[in-house]
Amino acid sequence: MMWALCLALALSALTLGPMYLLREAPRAGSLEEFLRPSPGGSREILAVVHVVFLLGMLTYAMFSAARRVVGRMAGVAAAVGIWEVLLAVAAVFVAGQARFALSNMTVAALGLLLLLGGMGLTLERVVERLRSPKTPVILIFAVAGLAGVVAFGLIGAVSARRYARVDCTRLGLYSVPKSTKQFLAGLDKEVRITTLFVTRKPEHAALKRAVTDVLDEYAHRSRRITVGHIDYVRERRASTELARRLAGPQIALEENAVIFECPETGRAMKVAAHEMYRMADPAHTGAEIAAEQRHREAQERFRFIGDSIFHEALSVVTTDKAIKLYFVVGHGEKPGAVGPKPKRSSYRRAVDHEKELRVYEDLRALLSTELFQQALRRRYCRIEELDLDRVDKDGGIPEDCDVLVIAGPCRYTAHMWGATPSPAPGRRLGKPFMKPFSPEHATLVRRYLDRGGRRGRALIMVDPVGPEYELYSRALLGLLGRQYGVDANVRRHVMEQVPRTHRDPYGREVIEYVPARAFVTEGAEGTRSSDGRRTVHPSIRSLRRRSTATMLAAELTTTPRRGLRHVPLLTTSENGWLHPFTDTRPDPQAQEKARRVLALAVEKEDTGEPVMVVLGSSNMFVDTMLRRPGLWDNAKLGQSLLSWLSGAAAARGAGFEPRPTEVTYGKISTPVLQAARFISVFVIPSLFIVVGVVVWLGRRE
Amino acid sequence: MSKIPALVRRELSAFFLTPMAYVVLTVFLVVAGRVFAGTFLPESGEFHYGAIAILLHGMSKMILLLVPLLTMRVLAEEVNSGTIETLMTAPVSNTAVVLAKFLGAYCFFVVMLIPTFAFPVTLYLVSGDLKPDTGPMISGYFGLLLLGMTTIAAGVCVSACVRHQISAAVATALVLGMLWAAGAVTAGGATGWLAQSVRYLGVLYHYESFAKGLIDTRDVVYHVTATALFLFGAVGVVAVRRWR
Repeated sequence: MMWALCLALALSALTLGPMYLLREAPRAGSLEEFLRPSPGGSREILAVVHVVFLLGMLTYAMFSAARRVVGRMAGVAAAVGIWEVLLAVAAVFVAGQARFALSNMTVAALGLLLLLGGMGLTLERVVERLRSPKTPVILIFAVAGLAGVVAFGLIGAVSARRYARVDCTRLGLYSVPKSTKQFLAGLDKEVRITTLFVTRKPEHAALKRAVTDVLDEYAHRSRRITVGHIDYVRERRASTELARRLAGPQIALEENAVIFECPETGRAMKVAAHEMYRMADPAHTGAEIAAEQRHREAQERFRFIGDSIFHEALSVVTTDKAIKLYFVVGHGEKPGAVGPKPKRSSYRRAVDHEKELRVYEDLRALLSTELFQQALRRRYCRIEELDLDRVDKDGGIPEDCDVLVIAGPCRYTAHMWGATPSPAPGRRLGKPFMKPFSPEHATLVRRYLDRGGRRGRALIMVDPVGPEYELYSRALLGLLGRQYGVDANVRRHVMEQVPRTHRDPYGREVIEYVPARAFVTEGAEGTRSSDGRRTVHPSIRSLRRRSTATMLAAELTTTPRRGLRHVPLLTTSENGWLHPFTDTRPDPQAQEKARRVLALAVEKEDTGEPVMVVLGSSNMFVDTMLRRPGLWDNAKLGQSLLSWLSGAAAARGAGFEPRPTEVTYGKISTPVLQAARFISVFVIPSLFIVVGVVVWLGRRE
Repeated sequence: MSKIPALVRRELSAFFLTPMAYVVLTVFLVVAGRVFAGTFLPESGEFHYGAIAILLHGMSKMILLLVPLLTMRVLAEEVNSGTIETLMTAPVSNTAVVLAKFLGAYCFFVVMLIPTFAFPVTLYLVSGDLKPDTGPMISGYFGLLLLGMTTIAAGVCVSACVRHQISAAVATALVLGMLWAAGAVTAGGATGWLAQSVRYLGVLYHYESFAKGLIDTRDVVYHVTATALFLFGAVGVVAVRRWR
């Protein structure tokens, strides 16, 4: 029997090796590619076969030695076995090289020779056994066993296709949200989903498992969805083909991303790995950005929220509607793409070139919203810049404008940059182009907003500035206060008490609360009504369990206006206070602490139709913020607000909450803790020791 | 089949009258208690409710280690001591013998699990107002029962193949080790058909969902079919032994 086992293992190793080579060699263009980590784990499987073969050999050796039939052969087999262990361990954990396939075949062949040798030595016994009356019985059970194995495989294959899952968790942690189920049930277009994970990187295994789990569930619920996996590093041909397909939508491939394609609409969308996680910070209130950065490194503090973004991606690629956004320029608004480096004066030329470049890059990142606008374009938003001076005064803002975006008119920006945000051809760089937001411009905006309906909505951002710069946004602020009851206190900026952790001289971790201009906002978790029900505004529903942060924000206050409703979206914690923009030494003790509103939605009281969203800071969307670890959620906030304003929230999956994540912690007091430990570690096991001793004594007597 | 209850009772009494049973029980409970205390009762007093998965995973690995000790004697000892001859001449079918051996070991396994219910109950009692989620505990224990079923069936099958208890224990450990390795080696995210086939064999791979709080029919089907396959193999080996 052992011979048969070893023979089967040797043959499997011998067939799998060439099969691997024949399958892989044509895929790899060169030897270097061939030596890269294996796709589909085929080499790892060979390693398993190897280990199985080794175990067969060892077992064979053990039995042979016991029977003293082929004693010498057993010794050789054991030696080969030890060598096999080392080889298999090295192959699995260290090398993962293609040479393994060749060595696998070599060793398998050696094992086969050993087996044949062993069989030759005991040929008489083999013949004797074949003549035994047991042989037909063995054959019958062998065939039946083989049929059983085949049935086992077939049942497994069928169950993998048709299965059901019961989520026993209280929060439904592993269930596809109801909204996604409805979306998948009504999906009428083919969608191709491709993951680009690198197989050999164990650090991504958890993410890959979570992603595969969700995507398999999607494919299970909708026949329109097909899921494929490509090893981005190893499978060059498949990667190149995918990259060629995505050249139209200008999507660049990257490791661990998930690509959604809809051939019918011709749309594609990439979801990067960093978009699939959020920080699970139980102390959401006032956490410092730097502390969040540390959490980024601690992977266990993160929670997978990919299903929310996957739903959004599915929605975006299967619809052919595009949102048209007009970004107002000319008043020092945050530019979408900063132009070429301005000409230097002779003095500037004398400055160290590298230093100048560094300053340039810092400024560029601090002012530019390039990343944000790129993200919007990737979601099929069409973006155009709008110079209100060039707008036809009678026609007003273009009819096709879904949402008008005014990203913080501020002379400070212009002053720092000293140029137009986005120089058009023929336009000179320099300050003269920058001008304050004039009453005529404010009238244009008001007329646009008065249109109402699906067109006539705005995302307006205002920034706190010093008194000398306030002139630039005064007309806009006047319009907001007069017409819409939204007042922005731009002469002061909001500050928070945030925890900062450091170690004292004894090495103990100490948490100190310090004032900060940059902090994590609250509000996306919704507000609780008097009856205890949580309500989340639809514009930020998909932001739930994400962390948005702001920096240098103005407080927003409201005055009731007939027909309009103001809904706070983002706030500080209870510890927010206002601080003069010019004062550099904040004193938290001297300030009045309260919850400060940082963003609010203005909607029609009767219908709930959106009118505008006002943000107390445009810095939320600058490249500097979005590049900070974990703060990509700010871009998500912008996308979600624009989707709501444009009325395309449902079509873009923006109004759907991600599935809940588990952040439940408990606390036990010290006496209870000690009692529980004593019971679990000593008392319970001791009971069985006592019973065992009693039984032993009883039997002895 | 009517003889099965009597055979199971005999098996159980044989289990509980040997010191090995109490050694296995005590070792299992000490390690499980230690894992429970380390996970849920740290010095700081603060714990994460999701850590129930850690406890269940720890127990599942311990089961892989302890099952060979449970099953090593079920058939191998009968062969070694010669009592198999008496058993084979009794008016019981091969299937009844194998099923009785399996059920005897499985009942002992269930008895082994019962004291561990004290851990979630303790957690429930000491956790104050914010009670832990009972769903993952229920699914986790259900998964442990299925896991025990599969591994014990594998142990019975191996025990039927060999003549010595120690050989049976070593061979069962190797088989379970291979079943564990099949899932572990390919768990890093391999996606090819070959990888998926090998991963399907992984016994602990089919326990992960239960520990998280999910009951998946794929995992249930795996455990049931694997148990049936191993028991069928055991019946076959016993039948071959009976035939002279």
